[in-house]
Amino acid sequence: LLPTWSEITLSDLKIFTLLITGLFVAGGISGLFLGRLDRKLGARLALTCAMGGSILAAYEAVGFWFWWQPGDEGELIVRLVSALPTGFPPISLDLFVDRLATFFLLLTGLLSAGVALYSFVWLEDKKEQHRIAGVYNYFVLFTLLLVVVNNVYLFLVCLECMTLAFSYLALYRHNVLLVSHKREAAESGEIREEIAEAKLAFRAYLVFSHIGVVFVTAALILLALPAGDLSFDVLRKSSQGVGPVLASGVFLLGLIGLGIKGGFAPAHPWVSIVHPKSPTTTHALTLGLVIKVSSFYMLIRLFFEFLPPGPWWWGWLVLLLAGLTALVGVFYAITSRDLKTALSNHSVENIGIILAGVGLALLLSARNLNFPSSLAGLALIAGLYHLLNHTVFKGLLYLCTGAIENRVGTVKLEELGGLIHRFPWTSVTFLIGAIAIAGFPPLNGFISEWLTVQVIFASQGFFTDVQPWVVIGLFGTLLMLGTAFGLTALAFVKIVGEALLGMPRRPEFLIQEKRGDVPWKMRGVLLLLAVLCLLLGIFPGLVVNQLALIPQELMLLEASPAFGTSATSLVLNFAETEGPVYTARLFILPLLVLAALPLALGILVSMRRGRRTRGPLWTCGTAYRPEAMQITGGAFAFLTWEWAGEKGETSSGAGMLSEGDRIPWRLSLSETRHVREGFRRIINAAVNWLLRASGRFGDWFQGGDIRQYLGYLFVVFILALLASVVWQGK
Amino acid sequence: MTLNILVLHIIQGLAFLLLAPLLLGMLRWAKARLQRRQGPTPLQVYRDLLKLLRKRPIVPESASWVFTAAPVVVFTCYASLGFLVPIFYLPEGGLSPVGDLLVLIYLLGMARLAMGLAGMDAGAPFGGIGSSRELFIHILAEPTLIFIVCTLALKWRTTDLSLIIWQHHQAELLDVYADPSLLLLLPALALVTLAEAGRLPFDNPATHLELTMFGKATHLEYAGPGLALLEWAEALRLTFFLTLLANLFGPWLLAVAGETSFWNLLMVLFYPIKLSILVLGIAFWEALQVKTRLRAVVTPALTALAITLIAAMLAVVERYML
Repeated sequence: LLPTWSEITLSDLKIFTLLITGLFVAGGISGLFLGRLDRKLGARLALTCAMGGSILAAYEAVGFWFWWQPGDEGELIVRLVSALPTGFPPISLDLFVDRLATFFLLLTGLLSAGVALYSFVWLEDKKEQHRIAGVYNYFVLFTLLLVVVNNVYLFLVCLECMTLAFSYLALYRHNVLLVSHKREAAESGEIREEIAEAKLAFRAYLVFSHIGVVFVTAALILLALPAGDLSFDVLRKSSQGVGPVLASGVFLLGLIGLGIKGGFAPAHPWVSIVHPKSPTTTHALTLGLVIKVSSFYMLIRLFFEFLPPGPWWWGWLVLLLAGLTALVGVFYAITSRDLKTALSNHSVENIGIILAGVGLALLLSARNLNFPSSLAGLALIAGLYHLLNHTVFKGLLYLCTGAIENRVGTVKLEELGGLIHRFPWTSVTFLIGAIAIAGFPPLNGFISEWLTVQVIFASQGFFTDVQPWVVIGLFGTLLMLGTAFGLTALAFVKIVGEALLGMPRRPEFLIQEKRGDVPWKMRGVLLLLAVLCLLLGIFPGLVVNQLALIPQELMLLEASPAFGTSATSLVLNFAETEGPVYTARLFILPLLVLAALPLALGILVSMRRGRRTRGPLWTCGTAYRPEAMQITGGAFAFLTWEWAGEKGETSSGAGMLSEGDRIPWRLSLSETRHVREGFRRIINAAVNWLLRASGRFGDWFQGGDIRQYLGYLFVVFILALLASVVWQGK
Repeated sequence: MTLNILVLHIIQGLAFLLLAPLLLGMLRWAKARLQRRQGPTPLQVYRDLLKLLRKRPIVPESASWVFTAAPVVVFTCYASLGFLVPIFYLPEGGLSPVGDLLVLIYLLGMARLAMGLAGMDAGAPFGGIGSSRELFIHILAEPTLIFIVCTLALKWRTTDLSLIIWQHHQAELLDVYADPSLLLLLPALALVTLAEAGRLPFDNPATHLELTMFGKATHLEYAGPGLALLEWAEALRLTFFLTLLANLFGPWLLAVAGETSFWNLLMVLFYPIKLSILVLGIAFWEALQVKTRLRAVVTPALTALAITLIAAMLAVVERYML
């Protein structure tokens, strides 16, 4: 049906691209407009379009990766329209595809197709299904476009369109509450508080996102100004000419802007405020993948393409931020009380791990350090591998959460429990995702964590002379990451234990839930992702060798390095100029063979006696009451947060927001206990200060005196004259 | 990888599996003797295991398949540790395809995770408390373990345990013991051993009061073969850490390919003896120790971390300044 890739020409690609775009646009229209006439039909049509477009995009990405023979440039440029007829500056509608873009295209296409299929069931009984489905189309479209557009202006437009599309999705909880509780809203304080919280989430998203975009814009414009062109091609070519001061400025602005967009500490709080309020099905795409697309895609382009190799402190700074992000994310994941918030906080941790890979690559490719370039390449591979893994297992976990919500109607951890008895498929896949994210072999999370830690170990031997700050930075990052890895296991034992295992904690909820596990459309997506978790863990050599093409293209590596000698093994060898070689080996197959022996013995032993008898629990002789006798999440994590210095204030039910708070900084562990989130307090203080200061400035600037305004006109006039003189002199 | 090495790993693993209960028995016996009790014979653990294996399992009404699978996973994790590392035989040049130290750390973590989940699964009042405490100790020990690997990697430029032991084996006695960074790893690893194997002062394995239990609280609901696997796993855990200590700091007492067969036979026979000596050391240590309060276990755990950090720093200094 489809032509083979060797016979495809550029004009075919152009049509193909337009087809994909058209599908998404049509899906959006049918969701938003047709849906007004027939809600169900509109939603189904929109989801079908989204699924078709995503699958085609993924197909195109696979084609680019494996079969497309690129020209001399090594990449592909599809010229849709070479330049818009008018306008300043000239903006071409080029689409630029290299391996990095293909990587993100493929991930977005695959996950988005899965989410669309899953949404057929999840959105079924939702009142706003057609609008969510319609907006979802636009959201995916702009995500796909973001990674292929080839100039600053269009990049920023796509970024903003994504923000707008997502801000509608972030209103979901708010709308649901308003619709379903119209009458009670006036009376019930609890619902009013929840509506306020949902409103706050929406506002927080816009504020954080726009502050981020301001910084990104500043960085890209600063870079484009000396080049005199907005095209990425020009930025790529002129990268060597950027002066050190300008480069550092662009680096800092870009890191701040993309860091806010991507939820790096200390700008992480918005992630767990905003995302839980969006529909769980799109939550899987937005936080499972798109948050990383909107930050890491440009971060990698900026660091390794647009900027020349920088001083060592760039990578050092990124690395410390990464460690901090990982630690903070996992800590607040432990204290979260509902599944969506916990997983959102956990995404922050994983973003930290990915950032560690990118930061290491940046540090190791720094100007004066003279590290072997394959090591920097491996660091980037480790980051990208974790990005891939995180997309798979976090997508899986969010979709499982959606399945739980679909069946039980709530994701509050203390109202769940014992789900494994009632929803076996959802529970098994959730468990697989949890073990993968905790990073245990033979699942995929382990490989990328192993790679990241190995790069840290390997890099410690390559300094030509000792640089204390770099060593301290590496050790600090290792300490933070190591602690975060351990805490992840604890976090997921808590989450899984509270939600899936044990007995239902609120037996009254059993009556409300739907019978039976989720339908096959949902179950299929869950199983597919769970299998991917296993495959990505068993074939690390295969994946690493493919991912190695990305750093090779980004000029980090001279030749494609082979870290995997076979599909199931990884062999790292880094030769030093003097001294021994750094070696690390990971062979999955012998590991599995050797572990299979005790496993077989264990199964044999435990199966020996056949049918087991059931008995009561040991409760010291009293009657068992599941709602009172099981450990709660707050108690489970108590040791950890108490050790981290949190006293767990016992302030009684005072509202989460008090005077002067912008975002809530008291996170409740139970009805009466709270921990303080220090970063949120700092953000609140900063926002308050900014408001006061800008108010004072505004009062002074807009003094209300006509002479003052005439003065401004005069100054602007003079400046305009000067500018025209300078411009002409050039 | 040659088949020979795989077979050698399997032989060592099987020996490790069979020997472990004896060491746990010896530890219990030695502790009893030090407390002037008669004490069960060292073979008692074997008898217990056989007895438990013959019993019919009783599973709590509220438990799911996780409860049944957990002992198998825990047993597999701890047992495969013995299949992956040099136990009493070191291959020539340390060339073995398995035994990466980070894999070993993650296997330890996997066992903890499985046990933590099992503790929560039955919905029992004590199980949850136990898994919370176990995981807490594990997260205190994990950074230390990673930094121990980091120090060894700085020193020997690899994370492969058999390669590291091979390099120790090639070095002189003084090269290992007069090296401050390696020497500091000895107390750190010893403390981690106590933490991970659940010995005093971190955990009192002999307690019978549910509220004071750590790891044992997660075992409370088990009976029959499941309990046998967990008991066995406990013995394996202890034996693994003692083997690690013995091999890292006494690599000269291993059977090696190049040596005469008489020497190698001697060393294989010497393996239980040297572990028994270490077990006696633990028995003496535990006789002098008391169980610390739950929140005070942070102190010895962080002491271990601090020691390891100093060791890692010293390794950097040695590498670049000497």
